[in-house]
Amino acid sequence: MKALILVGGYGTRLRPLTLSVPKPLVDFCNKPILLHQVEALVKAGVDHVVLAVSYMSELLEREMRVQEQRLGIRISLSHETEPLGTAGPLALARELLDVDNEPFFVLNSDVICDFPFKDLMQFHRNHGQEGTIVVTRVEEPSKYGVVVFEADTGRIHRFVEKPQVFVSNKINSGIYIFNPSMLSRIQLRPTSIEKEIFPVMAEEGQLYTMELQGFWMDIGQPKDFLTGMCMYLQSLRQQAPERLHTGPGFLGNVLVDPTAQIGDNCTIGPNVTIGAGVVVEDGVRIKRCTVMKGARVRSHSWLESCIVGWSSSVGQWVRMENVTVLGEDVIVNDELYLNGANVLPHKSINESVPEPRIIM
Amino acid sequence: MLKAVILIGGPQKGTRFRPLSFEVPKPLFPVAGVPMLQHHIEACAKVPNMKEILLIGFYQPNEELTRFLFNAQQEFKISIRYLQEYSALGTGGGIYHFRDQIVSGSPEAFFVLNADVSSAFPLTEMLSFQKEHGEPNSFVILGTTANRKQSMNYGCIVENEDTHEVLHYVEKPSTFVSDIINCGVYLFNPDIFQHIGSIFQKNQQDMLLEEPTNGWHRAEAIRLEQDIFTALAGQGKLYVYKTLRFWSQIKSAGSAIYASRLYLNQYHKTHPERLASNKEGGPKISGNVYIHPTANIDPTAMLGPNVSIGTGVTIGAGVRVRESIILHGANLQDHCCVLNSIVGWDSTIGKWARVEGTPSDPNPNDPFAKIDSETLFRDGKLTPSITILGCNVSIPSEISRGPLFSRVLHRHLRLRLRPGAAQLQVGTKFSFFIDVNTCFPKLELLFSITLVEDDVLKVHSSVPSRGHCGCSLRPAMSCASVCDPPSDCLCKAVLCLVDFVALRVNKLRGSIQGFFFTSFLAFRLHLQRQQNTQRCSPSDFLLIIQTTHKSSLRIKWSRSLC
Repeated sequence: MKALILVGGYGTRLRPLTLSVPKPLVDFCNKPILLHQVEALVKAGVDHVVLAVSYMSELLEREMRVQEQRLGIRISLSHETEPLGTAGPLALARELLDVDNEPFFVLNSDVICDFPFKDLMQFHRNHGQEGTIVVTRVEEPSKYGVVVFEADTGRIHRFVEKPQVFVSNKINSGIYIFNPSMLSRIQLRPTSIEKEIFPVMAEEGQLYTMELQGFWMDIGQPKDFLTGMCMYLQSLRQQAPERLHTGPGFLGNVLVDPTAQIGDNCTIGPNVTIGAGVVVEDGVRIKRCTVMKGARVRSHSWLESCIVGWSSSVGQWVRMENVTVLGEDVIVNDELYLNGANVLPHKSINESVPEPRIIM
Repeated sequence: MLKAVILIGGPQKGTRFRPLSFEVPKPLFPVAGVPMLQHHIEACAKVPNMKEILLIGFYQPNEELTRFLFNAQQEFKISIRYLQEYSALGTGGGIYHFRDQIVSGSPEAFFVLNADVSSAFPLTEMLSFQKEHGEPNSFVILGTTANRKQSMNYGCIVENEDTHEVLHYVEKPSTFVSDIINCGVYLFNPDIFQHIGSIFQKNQQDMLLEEPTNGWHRAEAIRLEQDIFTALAGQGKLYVYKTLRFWSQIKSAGSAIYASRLYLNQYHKTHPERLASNKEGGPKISGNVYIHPTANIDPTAMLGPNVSIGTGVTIGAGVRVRESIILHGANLQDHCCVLNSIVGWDSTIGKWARVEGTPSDPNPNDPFAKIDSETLFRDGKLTPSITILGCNVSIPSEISRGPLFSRVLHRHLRLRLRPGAAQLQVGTKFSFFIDVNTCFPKLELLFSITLVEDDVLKVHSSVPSRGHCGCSLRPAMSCASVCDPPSDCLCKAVLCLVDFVALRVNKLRGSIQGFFFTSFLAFRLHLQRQQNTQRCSPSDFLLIIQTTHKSSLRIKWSRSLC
């Protein structure tokens, strides 16, 4: 089976992390975002993954070669040289996708959830129509586009963008499965799949929904990245609790790479991810954070809701909170306070940042 | 033989030092590990031929003061006596009132020092200067150089550059007069009393000609600076000795930290044994640090520069203290960080908490810059200042109190209905509006209410309020009251949020979170009788409103009696 992942461009919302590394390769819970999706696809029987990119990265290409070997599948890159919207990339990859008349998956690269690919395929074959969209339930649907569908069959009636009054609390989760015949609907020009393709398919009764069980998050920006991390770690506790780290000084769900070193008298967690080769010195308190590979958190610091970038160094007695994001190789000097600071790579911070701002 | 007089003021003076001066008289507040006054006394006792030190002020005799005097006499082996004024007589009135005491024993000269200054006190040099330059029986003022802008906050001295005579003296002028300022240290001889006497007579004459309003206070309240120096300038009697050595006023708590730094630095020469050093099994020391021998400090803590640790203080593992004064009995738990703050008596700071203030140091690039006399408000915004934790304050773990932009408001309403009688009535309601401009995600207001009964601090309390967040504004609390006050307190203060109105929501700043909103919070502070007594005694209350995020607080008060 085949799958298309809409990787897109520069990942600007996840800066400063995406200034060092293309977004699909940013580590989410100690594994590149893309790999979460690809591995789930492989488990469901996919043997060819197409990445639709608008920005070609050597790093990405190289990494994908490695993964091809490792997973034993084929990974192609489909590069759009001019913007094609959300549907255009499918048309661009037509030759790769429309091969053996098998349905193919499409997913948004920012999405993290308990990927239901096997169930999705089953459901799709059962109703036999052209497309199935996975929907998920959210608390504030008016921030998104909602889907209105028949509760028992799942047949979609219509879509409503950012409704003013409550219409439905199910939104498009960014995960689809289509029959190759649907590709003929898309022309090779900037096309919006939500605005131009889906409404037509729904009208013809060709579009169905499957409701996602479990968590879902679009982790395209730091705040949601951390929220998504909490959800993922919670689901890990239910499915593979042995992967989480326990012991004195560890609270709640904590994921620690085996090569990381944690000092004495620390209190780590809940909801913390510690990457490979990270050094956490004595007396550190970390909650709701991601610490990327090779970073160092020096003694007696206090971190909450932060992302510490690769190889960064956080000084002693530092306090960081409120979605502070450090890019790659950032140095934060001792005894500072960072509140919502967004720090670009290779920067050295000498002064406290009392209010959220970007440090260039 | 010589004498020295130290003017120590009284409880109504030194209001900018509150709330610290509620616990302990300001002259006894520890600076660089010892009471402020001790530095003066030590400097005076060093002068050869010094026979007696007199303290003049209008504090009621209290245990602290008495104990201090006793210990000081033992240590410095010199007679030290406290002469209590019957009311505030001003900087000149006090010494005039006690002139007989001062001249008894026929001293050839006597020093007068203000208690609220920190200085190297070059007293012997002033004596030599007077003998060399001055007319016999001339008086000397100790002066130092300030920068042009700040000089107008002090007494300004115009000197004859050759003879060093004071040609002109103005106290706090509104336009620039001179960059030489009055340090509050003087060298007089008994002739000064003639001059004060004639001013006193003149005041009495003036007073007789007017309607008696304030009674007999006015005549006897004489200000050395405005009344005496201004008149003596240019008469060939008054000289100025300029010093380049350190000098700073101690008016506010922030200036106590700065003064501490100056004295700690002086300890290298005068008291090297008072400075802590890096030892096996001891904490890491950086710069000048004073640690009282009874303090208990974990070896993984890091202290300094400019830190004073008081008696019985406990400092846990991995604690960082910098530019701060930690007072008696405080407990700093593991991994906390205290910067630019004063931690009050018996307070506790929880694990990983951060207590941080903004230093108010003078511009280090200007050699003549002096510490700013801090005004509470500037352009409608509270000025950032040193963070002060009063007595018995408890900071929970992992909390940040007063980072760089903390605003501490001392609000102090004084009602005098009849002199001497109960001043704040039970049932009195005070309403105030807080106009807040603050930034997502949370506004947290910490209210501390302290009631004063008979000039004694009675109630310590703090009422944290969870503020409103971002778009969905909702009242934080419907009613909040202070924690149970001590049982011997007659009054209880109850603070309620009465109303709140949100305006101008969600102005987005920058490309990441930064919501601004303005809201009015209306509170009522209600005093309730706690015990079944007729007497209701709070004479005063102090309301401290602190926020942990940058905000401008504008406060409007109104008062109603029930």
